[in-house]
Amino acid sequence: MDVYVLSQIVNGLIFGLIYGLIALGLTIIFGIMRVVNFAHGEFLMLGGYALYLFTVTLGLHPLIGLPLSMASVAAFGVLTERVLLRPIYTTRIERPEEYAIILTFGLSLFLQNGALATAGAYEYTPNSFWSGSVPVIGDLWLSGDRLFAAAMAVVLILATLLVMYRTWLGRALMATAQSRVGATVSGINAIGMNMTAVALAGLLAGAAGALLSPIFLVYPDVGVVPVVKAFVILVLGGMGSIPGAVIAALILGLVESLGSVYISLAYKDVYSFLVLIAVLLIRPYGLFGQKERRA
Amino acid sequence: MLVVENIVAGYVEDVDILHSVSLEVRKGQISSIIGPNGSGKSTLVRVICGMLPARQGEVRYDATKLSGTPAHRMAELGIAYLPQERTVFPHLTVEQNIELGGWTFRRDGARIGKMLRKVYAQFPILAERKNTKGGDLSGGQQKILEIARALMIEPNLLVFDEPTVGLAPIVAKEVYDTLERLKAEGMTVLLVDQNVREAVRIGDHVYVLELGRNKADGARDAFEGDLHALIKDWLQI
Amino acid sequence: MTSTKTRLLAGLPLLAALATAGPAIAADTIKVGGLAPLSSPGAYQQGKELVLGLQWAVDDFNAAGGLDGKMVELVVEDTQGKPPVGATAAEKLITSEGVVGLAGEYHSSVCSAEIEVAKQHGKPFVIASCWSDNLTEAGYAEVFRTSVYSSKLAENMVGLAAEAGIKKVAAIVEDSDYGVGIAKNIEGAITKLGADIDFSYEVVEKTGKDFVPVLLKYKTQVKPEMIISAVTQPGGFLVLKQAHEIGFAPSSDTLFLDATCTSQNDKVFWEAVKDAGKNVLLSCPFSPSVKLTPLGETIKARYTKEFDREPNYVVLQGYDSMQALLEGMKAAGSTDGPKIVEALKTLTFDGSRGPVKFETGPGVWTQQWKDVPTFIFQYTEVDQAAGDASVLFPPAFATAKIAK
Repeated sequence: MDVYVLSQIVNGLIFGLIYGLIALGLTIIFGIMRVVNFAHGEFLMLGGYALYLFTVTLGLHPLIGLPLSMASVAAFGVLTERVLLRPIYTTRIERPEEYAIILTFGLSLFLQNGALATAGAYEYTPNSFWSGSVPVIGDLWLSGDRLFAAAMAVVLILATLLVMYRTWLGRALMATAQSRVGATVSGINAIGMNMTAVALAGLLAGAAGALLSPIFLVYPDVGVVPVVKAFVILVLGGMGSIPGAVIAALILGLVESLGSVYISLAYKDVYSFLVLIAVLLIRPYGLFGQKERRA
Repeated sequence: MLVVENIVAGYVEDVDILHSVSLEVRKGQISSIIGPNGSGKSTLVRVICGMLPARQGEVRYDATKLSGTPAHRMAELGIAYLPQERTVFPHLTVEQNIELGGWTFRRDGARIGKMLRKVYAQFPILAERKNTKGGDLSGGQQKILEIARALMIEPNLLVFDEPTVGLAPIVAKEVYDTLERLKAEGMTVLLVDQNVREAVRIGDHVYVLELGRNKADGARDAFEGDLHALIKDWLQI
Repeated sequence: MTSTKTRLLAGLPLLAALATAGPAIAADTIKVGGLAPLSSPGAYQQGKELVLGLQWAVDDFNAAGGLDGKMVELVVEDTQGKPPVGATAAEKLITSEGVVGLAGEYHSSVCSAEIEVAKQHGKPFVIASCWSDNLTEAGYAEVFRTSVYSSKLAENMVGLAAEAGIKKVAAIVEDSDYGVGIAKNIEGAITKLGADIDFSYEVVEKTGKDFVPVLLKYKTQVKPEMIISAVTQPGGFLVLKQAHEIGFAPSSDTLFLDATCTSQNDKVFWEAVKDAGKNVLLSCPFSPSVKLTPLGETIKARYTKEFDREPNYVVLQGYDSMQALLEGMKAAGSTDGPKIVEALKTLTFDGSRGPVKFETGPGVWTQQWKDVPTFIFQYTEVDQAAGDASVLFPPAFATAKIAK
């Protein structure tokens, strides 16, 4: 395999990992709350602006700025849950799913326009985590920021999987996702779990937004394209499936890079949809999705 | 042990399902609530267990006022609630399902282990199938699993809504046997059941609801004779 | 009306004699038409600057004595950026105002409608700031253009590459008419100028973020000496940043040229790309730092004095178009449309940005000021102000050689 193809694959995998980070948060919110968070891309955007605020405006080290950005977005997520989303499951709203779609979509537009009004239309560049470039293989030099983002994505994805599959909290989150009543009668505070889910998703989105911002800059609609990929991954992996999201993200990264090499560079963003359509024709519930098994 | 006083409740604004219902569950007894469809039996247990707020009236559990207590706090108070619908976690294993019953004391690993063994001893079928996904069990086994999960907290009061709906007679019998065994071990039970014959047979005290009001109540013996007339009466409604 | 005419006839026998030559100059002044977008959806801020340029050209012409002593009056119509409104405006200026010719306009789509009216009435129209190649390619006898045109930017880039002895150029263009148009124009310019350049391009999604795949291909397989980016902000910044990150361009092996001129917004540019921006080349129609003709410098000084800021190039474009029309009229010694058109064809005069003359063709060069300056700049230092960037091209304006 020549260096060109190999380097494209490496680049694709790096993207797969970052997509995974974004999609994981979306998946957790959907899995637990049955809400598709259309404002997830704007959570990314907030993570980017937060990193700018911490590293440039306040002059903190990016390694301190990262956890602070994550926490800020998580706090914003919790606020969103408390103020906007809670009525969906505490009061009797007709068609709660539609309500949630309109609400999160509205939030997305509100945040984009809010950013436009406060930060302006132009691009901000937060300080780098790792400035400079590193030779990876052959002619492939990658920016330190890309490598750092990929490494952090691995760490955060593994940490998320650990929490979900090896802790009581993760078990309770999954239980809430599978039966809210069952969780409640077992003593689990389902509303608390919603808040936890949004906070966790906020941490992941905040991390993704902050990690991407030195690479792709931050501006009001920066989250629009990545979140579409995350939606594709959500469906591809099977709505709400956590391992599904991770694997689908890596597949997407690979498909995009191989499509770029062997088909055409021009339509990189289209390949994800082609894969999605192909998979859904064969497996309507996605790669890891299961038919709803609820009584 | 559990006192329900003049409860008024409903789902939709201005429409009450329960108009004024009162009852008392005594320690160590099985109290059965029976009544025709729409009499408000399930609504009443939902109010008791915090799933639905009461508009008027009060629920007391020993010295604790239950009204206004959120549903997830019931487990901490020693009240196990088994709703009518299936509540097994379908994608978790049998063992993970049971363990989650011990959520309130999750930091006490030893107690979790001890209770798990105890529950397996009571329901050997679950021990055999402990690595099966909850959703892959039969309907009867899922009901057994729900009971096992509820028993993890060693409840003082078991509130059981329609335990045998949709179960095969042989499985239903197992459920009732379990209830009697629990009672023998000193458990207090509040049972809501459409299966009037069984509810009266195992109930120490029986309450009859009709259209959201107390219709009658009394000890089991007082009811056994009237049962036939009662059912006939309901069918005419 | 009659009384003024009488007075004119009495006082200025020469003019009276001229007045009898054509019906259009029966009045005491010569009217010229100005076209500009002055309200939404037109680019009315630019329209205002344009009108300023037109008016100043008229003022200067009158100050120099007008047409044999007869003053010129500018009548402006708002074209609103809408083609039908532009056509109506041109019609109105010609038929009810009786203007001798037209100058101005900013939107190419509006220009396309207006040139039809000019042609129909046989009145000269000097386009001030519509860039579409189609306008002069149409080959109408009445239509002249003093502004830059779309493919001119490509001619400039190719000209620079040829001058620097560059043999292989690759472009990354966005998937829009604009992006693909630039690639096509570069191809056209290579043919037109007969340059020995191997050119290839890749189309990328305008909304894309990761351009590393394309850049890797260029770096490892194509190996161009110059890479041209025609992706609008913020994509264009990302292309540059990523080209820098993978150690590709700008470098001693590969130049990086921003065809969108976005980089001229220096504050935003440096904030976004940081040290990746060193040695970037920019293709732009203007920069305040460019040395103008004495006339241009006078206009610039007047603008700076009046508004306390640097003029943008639209003022100069407006001035040049009106100046061309007036000089044409003067050369023809007539206010007759066809006579002015004939005069314009061979006219040469010193405009604000250089000596203006119109080509006979072919194609886009038809009655176009072919050598209208548009520039290639280069940032030679990180955080350099746009005004301090060196000028590389055209040679007449160059202040430095390419830095690598």
